[in-house]
Amino acid sequence: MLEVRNVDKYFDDFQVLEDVTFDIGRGVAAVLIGKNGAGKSTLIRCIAGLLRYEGSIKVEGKEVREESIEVKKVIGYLPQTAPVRGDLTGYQIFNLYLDLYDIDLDIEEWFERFELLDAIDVPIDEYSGGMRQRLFLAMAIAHDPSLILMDEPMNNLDSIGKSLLVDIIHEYKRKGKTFVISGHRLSDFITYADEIILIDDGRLLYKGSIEELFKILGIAKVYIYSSDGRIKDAIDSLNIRYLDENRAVIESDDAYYAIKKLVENNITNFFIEEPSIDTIIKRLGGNE
Amino acid sequence: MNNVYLLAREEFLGSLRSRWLIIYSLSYLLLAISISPFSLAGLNILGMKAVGKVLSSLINLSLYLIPLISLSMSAISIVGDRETNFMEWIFSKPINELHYILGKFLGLSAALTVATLLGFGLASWFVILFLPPEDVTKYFQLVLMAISLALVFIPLGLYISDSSRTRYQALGAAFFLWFFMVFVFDLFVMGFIEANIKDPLVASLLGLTNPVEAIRILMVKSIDPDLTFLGFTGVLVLRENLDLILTYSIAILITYAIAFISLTYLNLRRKDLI
Repeated sequence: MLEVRNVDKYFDDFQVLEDVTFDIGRGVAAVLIGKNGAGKSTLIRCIAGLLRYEGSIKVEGKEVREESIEVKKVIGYLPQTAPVRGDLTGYQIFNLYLDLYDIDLDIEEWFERFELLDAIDVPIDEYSGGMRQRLFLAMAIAHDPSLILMDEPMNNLDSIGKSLLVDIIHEYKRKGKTFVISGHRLSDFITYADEIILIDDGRLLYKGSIEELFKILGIAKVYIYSSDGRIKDAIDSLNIRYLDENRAVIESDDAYYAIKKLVENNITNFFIEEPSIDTIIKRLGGNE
Repeated sequence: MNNVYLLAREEFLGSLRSRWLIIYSLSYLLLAISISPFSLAGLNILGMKAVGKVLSSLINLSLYLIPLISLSMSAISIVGDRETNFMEWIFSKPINELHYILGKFLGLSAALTVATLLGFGLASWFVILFLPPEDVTKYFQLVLMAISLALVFIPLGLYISDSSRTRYQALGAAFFLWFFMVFVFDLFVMGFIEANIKDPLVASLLGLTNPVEAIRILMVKSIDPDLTFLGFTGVLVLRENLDLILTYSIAILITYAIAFISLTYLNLRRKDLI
């Protein structure tokens, strides 16, 4: 689905990406992590056809640079910061978006799904940051793209948006869609990430499954909070230690397996004892 | 081409809500209110000379106002999209740089055409009601040329916009260019020509490299080829080679428009889009 080969990117004389190479298959949710300024957003923008680059980026076998319009038809893109335009209402910008893809959808239905129906005729500069990001999240997926790019979606989404985002990723993964999502914290993506791509100083430092990364990093503890007593039913086979009635901690050599069991049982209110991004980079042999 | 239309439509509708365009139309409204009663009082008695003065007022107003409003609106257009992150979003859609720049040009052109027609329309009722058909024709020739002037200055503004980092910088550059072309250029060229160029034809052609002067010649010619009070090129036009000068003026206007659309397009193609 996505082939990135020897990609370099310079801003003037400053090299932001250096020889980045990886593939992502169909139906995979890949998460780009790295420090601020590591080159995550730059890489996503190169894939989206917004930045010039050296090397090759192919989406469904088409070079982004050379067949940008064809490629953009199959890409959905959620920018890190949604545009603020006082002259366009939510309805107007959604209508423009549909027209650009030459598709016809029930706009009100989409606004309802994203809990924005009350604001459909409001100029988007009057939306809160979270509402605006939800609107642009809708416009990243409504045209049914094959590859969905999201630049640090967790930063500006509100709680409704975060919940919608997780649902959308699960739903669209089932449809065979591919995701490239950037972020800072592993725990934000545990429930749906298939692959982790770690970028450090513009170079690819690690690409592999999240399960493998858990083992490399020695993540062993999963903290759970559940107020409805479902913890025991879900994971009684695991080494669980109750902190009180509603809180527990799992200590396991295979924390990722424990997480999968939690998710299978609809327990999503947990967090891991996650090393900092600096520690992760150090353990994977990058620059501190 | 459909995406060019969509981008032009979006730009057109956005521009209609712009305060610049409202100010522009209101200026013509003020003109209509102020010149019409005075003109009506004397037009029937004074005849063609009075008509000429009314129209020359419109020409002079157009030569100041249209470059100013065209440059201001187009100069904030691209850089505004960049500052509001709209450019990042719109270029992630299936459009390319050519769609974008043509959409901007056509949308802004349509908005300024509507505003100019509205402005001239507000000032035209007395012309239509009280003047003979040939003068009405002259009046609408002026309207057409006023629109042409806008179409020339929009690409200049778009180039400024794409080359600027902020809206303030773009507006500053637009005002500077406007001041240079409307006020400084004429003086500069006159001084230069007086000092260096003896051939009147070459002098005329040099003066007409400024699109404001080129459109002034065409406007003057459309009212009365003998008018001499409309500035430096008004004098030049009385010299020989009038047909060449008129053709050259039209060519200058077309060249400006195409050159700056092309330059803006190439500029966009050359660099990162955001």
